[in-house]
Amino acid sequence: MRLLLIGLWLFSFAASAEVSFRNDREGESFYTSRSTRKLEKKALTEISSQEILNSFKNVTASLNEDKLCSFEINEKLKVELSKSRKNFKNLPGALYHLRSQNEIDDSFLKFLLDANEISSAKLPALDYDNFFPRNDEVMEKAIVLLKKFQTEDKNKCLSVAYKDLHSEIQKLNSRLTETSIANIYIEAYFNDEIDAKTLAILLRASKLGLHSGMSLKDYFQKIKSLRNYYPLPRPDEKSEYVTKSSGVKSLSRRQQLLRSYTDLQIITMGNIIKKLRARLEAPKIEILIYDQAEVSEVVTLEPMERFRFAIKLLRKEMTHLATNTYFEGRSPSYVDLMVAAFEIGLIPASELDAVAGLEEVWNPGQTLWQKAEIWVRTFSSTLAIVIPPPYGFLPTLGIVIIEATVGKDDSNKENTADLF
Amino acid sequence: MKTLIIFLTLLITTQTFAKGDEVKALALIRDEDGDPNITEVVLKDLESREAFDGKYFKIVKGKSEEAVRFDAEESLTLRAATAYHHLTIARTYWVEKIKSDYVKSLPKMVIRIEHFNQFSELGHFANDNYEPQYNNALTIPAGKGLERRGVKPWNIEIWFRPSKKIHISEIKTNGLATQEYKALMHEFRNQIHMQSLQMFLSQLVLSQTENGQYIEPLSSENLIRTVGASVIIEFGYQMFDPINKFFSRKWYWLDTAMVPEIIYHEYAHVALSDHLHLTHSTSIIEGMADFFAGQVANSPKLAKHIKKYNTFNGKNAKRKQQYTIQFEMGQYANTDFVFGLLWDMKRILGEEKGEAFMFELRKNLTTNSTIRNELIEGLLKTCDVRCDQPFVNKIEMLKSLNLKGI
Repeated sequence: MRLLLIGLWLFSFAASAEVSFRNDREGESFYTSRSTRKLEKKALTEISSQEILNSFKNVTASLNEDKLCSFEINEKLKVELSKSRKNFKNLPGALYHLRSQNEIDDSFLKFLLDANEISSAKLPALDYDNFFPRNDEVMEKAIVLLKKFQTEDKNKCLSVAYKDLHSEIQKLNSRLTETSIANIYIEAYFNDEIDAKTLAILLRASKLGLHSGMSLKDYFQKIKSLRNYYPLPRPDEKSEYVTKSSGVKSLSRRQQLLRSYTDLQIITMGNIIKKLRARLEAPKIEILIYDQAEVSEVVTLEPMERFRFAIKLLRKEMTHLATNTYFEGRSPSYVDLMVAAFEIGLIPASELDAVAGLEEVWNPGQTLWQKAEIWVRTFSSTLAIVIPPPYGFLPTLGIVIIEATVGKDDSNKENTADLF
Repeated sequence: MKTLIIFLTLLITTQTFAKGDEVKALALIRDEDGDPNITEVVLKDLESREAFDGKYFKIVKGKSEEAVRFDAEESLTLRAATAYHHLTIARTYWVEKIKSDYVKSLPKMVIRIEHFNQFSELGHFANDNYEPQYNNALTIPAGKGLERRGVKPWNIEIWFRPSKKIHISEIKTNGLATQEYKALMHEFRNQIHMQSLQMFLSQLVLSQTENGQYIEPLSSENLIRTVGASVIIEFGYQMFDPINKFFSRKWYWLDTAMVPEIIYHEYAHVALSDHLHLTHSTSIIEGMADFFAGQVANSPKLAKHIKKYNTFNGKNAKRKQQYTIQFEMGQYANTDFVFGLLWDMKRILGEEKGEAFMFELRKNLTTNSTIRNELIEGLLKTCDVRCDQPFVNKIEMLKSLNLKGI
């Protein structure tokens, strides 16, 4: 009986453990810019750093990981901040400060900033067009859903409520585009079915893509799962590599990874890099040739062959990920693998850039001369014909000189002296 | 008492002489711009006041055991002074910068200038008539001698051959440089032919149009203009070798005792001989010696811009070249590929660390090491011990080596 009680107590303790979004991987924020620094600085003139941190601590202490809502967190934070400073309105500034102090990471920051943007949205100039494909029945049903959203779903987290709404509207007609859905909202407003505030929220939520991507709760669960499976060996380590732009939807590499892949996918990807590292460090790699059951020949790879073999094997494994049932045909990029490996602590930050740079081996960047060569080649043939002899040889000479200077790309040329 | 006074007088005089009378001589040095100049230099660590006989080096002529005297013939003293001066610089580098205990412990070395005998492992010198050697320098290992033949044991020596003008036809080159030019010429010639053909075809097509009726592609004038360029280039291509021979230098010579970097190179062989034995010439030991010669000279270029004494091409660590398997062969031992490779590794590791790294590298090499195997393994092993971030530095090195085509 006593043991059961202790067990239950421990269980309840675990269930109500403090929710933490502390940044344990990212270097300088992806969102750092002159304007964000300005906002942060402005916030700090109104309220001290310690007060912001304390307010946030009070908010997180009251959170339940099963009911995480970025909108709710914002409201609570506003209340806490107001206790320290009446009418404090610069929530974004406070959020940027929390990020600069590593109390939160970029993903969490984005959740809160988006929530703030949505909940404080003003009605924009309306550029209404008839939604397509036009259907009165769809419109009728949509209005019912919108009214429900406006009135009944107030207890739900706004992000959850909006996702449900969007999903239901999409079910009415699968051919509806995002623009069409926005037009449905506007038409409902013009027909006085929803008020201006609701419309403003809906339009901003649509613009920010609140219906797609993971929720704050999903994000928290993912991080928690990754940290459970792979506790960080160097929890204070940060990397600038993961906060660089991913080139997709104004997200950093880490944000893009956490949005796009499940925890199991991230673990699988990270372990590929772990294997790569082990192979690169291997003092010996041999190929065993068997004659029936016995080894008849052993071929030892030379150092550079080991290096190229490790890279070739990496590329093979990357390609084969697409056939892995966890990946459902997706083939992650090398950058994704790197970020995944760092996320679960399989590679230290100090090695990230070096290992990431291995991509140049099979995907070399072009130098200025190589880029110029393309243009010279394109136009010199024409010039060679147009320019009368004997001067016509000059552009030809130009091509030859550039080729001699730039050098040829022999990466695909078979080198018979090497196995790999 | 009298003896004591005489002794003290002599002692004081000797000390005064030693401190006050620096021995100066004319030697070839490089100025700040790297240009060679004959200038007066102070000869350090001399033990004799009459000859080039110092604490660490004795400069002799040929097979002689007597040091070259200061009052000897001018060209001889110039070579002796140059060799002595630069060897002193090299030794100072190895002892004070590299902190080589091995070099510090080396006994006085005999340096032979104007020496044309071949080396004999048993007899020290091959017979005078047996294929005299010119335009070269050699570091020979120590030998036990042959007592019953009156051949005394000898320590490590450096031999500087006399220079001799030789005709280009007598030189056996590896032809790598010529091959590169010929490949370029081949490419250029093909492009010109293609261009002429394109020009002719476009004129042919244009002549069929309304506005191009004045064009006569098959006229003799047009054909001469269009085809003429191709003919000239083809002629040039076919006559490349004789033309190249006609315009290129005819006579070659190399006065090794007058080229500072060659002196540093030879001394580097001595300094590295605790691990890289002086048995024969290979890409590895030549490359390592080149590297340290470059370090002493503080330049990636060796033996360049010194036309009076060296009409061969020098070496350049920054020359872009790709690895070929031929570099493993003995006849390519003196290419600058390994020199460039090591210089590049130094760039990756940093100037200071790179130098110490290369010194440590010698422990993981032998004279018979190959570039593609033992040298790379040696670099990786040395990095495990010497690099601040072994894994990161090894990746950078491997990437660089991969780009070189190894």
